[in-house]
Amino acid sequence: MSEQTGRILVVDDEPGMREGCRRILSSQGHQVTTADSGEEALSLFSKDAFDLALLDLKMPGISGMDLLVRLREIDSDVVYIMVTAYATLETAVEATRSGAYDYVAKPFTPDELTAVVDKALAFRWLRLEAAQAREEAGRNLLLVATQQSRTRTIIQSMADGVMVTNRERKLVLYNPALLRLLGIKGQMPDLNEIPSPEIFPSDLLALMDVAYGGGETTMMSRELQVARSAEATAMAATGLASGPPNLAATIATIRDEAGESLGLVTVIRDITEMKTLQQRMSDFVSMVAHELRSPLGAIAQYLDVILAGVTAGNPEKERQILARCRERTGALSQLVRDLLDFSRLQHLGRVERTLAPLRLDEILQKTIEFAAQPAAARNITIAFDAAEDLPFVDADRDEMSRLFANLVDNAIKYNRDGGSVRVAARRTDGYVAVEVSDTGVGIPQGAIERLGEAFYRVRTSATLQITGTGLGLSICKQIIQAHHGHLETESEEGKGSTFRVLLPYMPSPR
Amino acid sequence: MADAAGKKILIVEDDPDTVEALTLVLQKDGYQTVSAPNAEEGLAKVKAEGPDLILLDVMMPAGTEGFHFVWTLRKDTDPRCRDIPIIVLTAIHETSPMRLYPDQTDTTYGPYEYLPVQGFFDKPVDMDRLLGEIRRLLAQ
Repeated sequence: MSEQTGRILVVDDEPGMREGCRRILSSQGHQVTTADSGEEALSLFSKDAFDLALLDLKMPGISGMDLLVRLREIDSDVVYIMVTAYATLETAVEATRSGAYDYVAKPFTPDELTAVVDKALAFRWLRLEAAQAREEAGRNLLLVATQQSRTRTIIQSMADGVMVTNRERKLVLYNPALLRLLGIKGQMPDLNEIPSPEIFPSDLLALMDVAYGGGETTMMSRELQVARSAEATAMAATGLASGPPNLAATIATIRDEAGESLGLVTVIRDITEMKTLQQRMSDFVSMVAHELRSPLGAIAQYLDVILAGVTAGNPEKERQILARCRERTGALSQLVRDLLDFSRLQHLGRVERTLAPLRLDEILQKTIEFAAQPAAARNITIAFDAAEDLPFVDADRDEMSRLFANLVDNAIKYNRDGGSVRVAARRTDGYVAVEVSDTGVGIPQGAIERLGEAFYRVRTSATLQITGTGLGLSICKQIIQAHHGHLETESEEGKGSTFRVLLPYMPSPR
Repeated sequence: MADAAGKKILIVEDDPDTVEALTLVLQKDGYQTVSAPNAEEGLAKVKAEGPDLILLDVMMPAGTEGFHFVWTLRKDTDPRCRDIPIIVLTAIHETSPMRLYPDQTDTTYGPYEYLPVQGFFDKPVDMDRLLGEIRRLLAQ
């Protein structure tokens, strides 16, 4: 149906009127239906839809006024025009009060009728458009509300804490993660209030002050100092328990299109893991530096002694000193090997590995021989017990040597003077099991899971004096995993530890 | 050296090679030497041997052992312990915030920011300078 033409009902008891209107309005393109009485009109109205109805005011039976009221009950969106003779002008006016849109007085010219009808139809189209617009707005609002609730759900679910404060610095939004990270329990922050220093950390509020003081600043990030009790700090340092998290706050200014500040959005993030890693890497670098400095310092000192002529005339002493220098370079080489191994094993790409059927007892025997001197220096005995029917293992010889050298070295390093180390190898269900046990300081329960984490070192008063890179076990684990094996650890603080390496053996010797 | 005769130096140092190197140099210069590998034995040797000067390695793994040694000595009732010259050997002097006491250039240190010792030397030690410093301190 085009915008200009409509469905029109003409109700008049006079056939001449009906025909006249039909002709005039049809020629305009409108679809015209006629009724000769109120009853017929009502009947037609209930069956069809109309845009406009022309009602004769003076009819026998149901009067025009009554008909108007009753038709409106059926469809109040239709525009009604009352057709009146001059004598009934006041009634026509009254009709418009009852809901008729307009009236036309007879006799009327075709143009007069057309004008009234066009005006009425224009009104009808406008009203329809308005209704459509309202409906669409309603749909959009629903969409926005859904989006809003989706956004809200996202914000509520975020792992980072979020809070939004407006121009007046009042809190307008926050999420559960914010409360959790800032340790806010019990008393919830009030919305539409300025965040209270009783609930929020003072350095966070100070940061927000700076951001509000503003000017050019659009975004800033800072670490927050979270107050820790001395006990919590000590616990955290052992790596055995977690204290309050390290937090970082990022504050951004919310701006409107004109660039004016509307408020701030503050995101709080837990950076504990990052800081821990940073700390561990920093510890690692310090450890490496220390491990490097000792042998380098000693070697340099010795060489200075020789060069200054202090040992002139004493060739035996000189030889002794040079031999010690050579030994110390060994420790340096070891450190470099550790670092390279570690780096090599970290690579996700392929690692060169030469697999061959090996007898682990041979490798273990050699390992123990190498360890004899450092063990003897502290009166530590090493016992070796290998089963006779030990099957072959498909492995890389160098890596196996590395693996067991690390374990035996640790067993000595963490041992007490006069203690003992036991290396045992036997066959179990599908695996060759190699156990390296010591009578050393042992490992606290919580630390066992973390052994093998890169740079991780157990820090207790018992181990503080023991130096190491924190890479040894990590390297062991990676070697074991690469050979499809497992590592089991058992330990009791103050008693000792046992490390059990399980490597699948080959079905039959080649 | 005439001024070295009869003087005894205690070396508190955990690295056996550094002990050996220092011993060679000091003995060549005429000093007697004794050594201890840690602070505890060091304190015992101070009492037992009565050295005239102490060379102390402060870079022990825990970092606090050396300081503990110094403070313990300085609080001793025996004036010899309180006043014995101590030279600290360290691998970290350039990066350490610790200061010599008294430090003529800076009087703003707090109570645990200085060590009451007579000198800091970086390792490996410049031996001529060390011998010179030892001579100077023992002459006082």
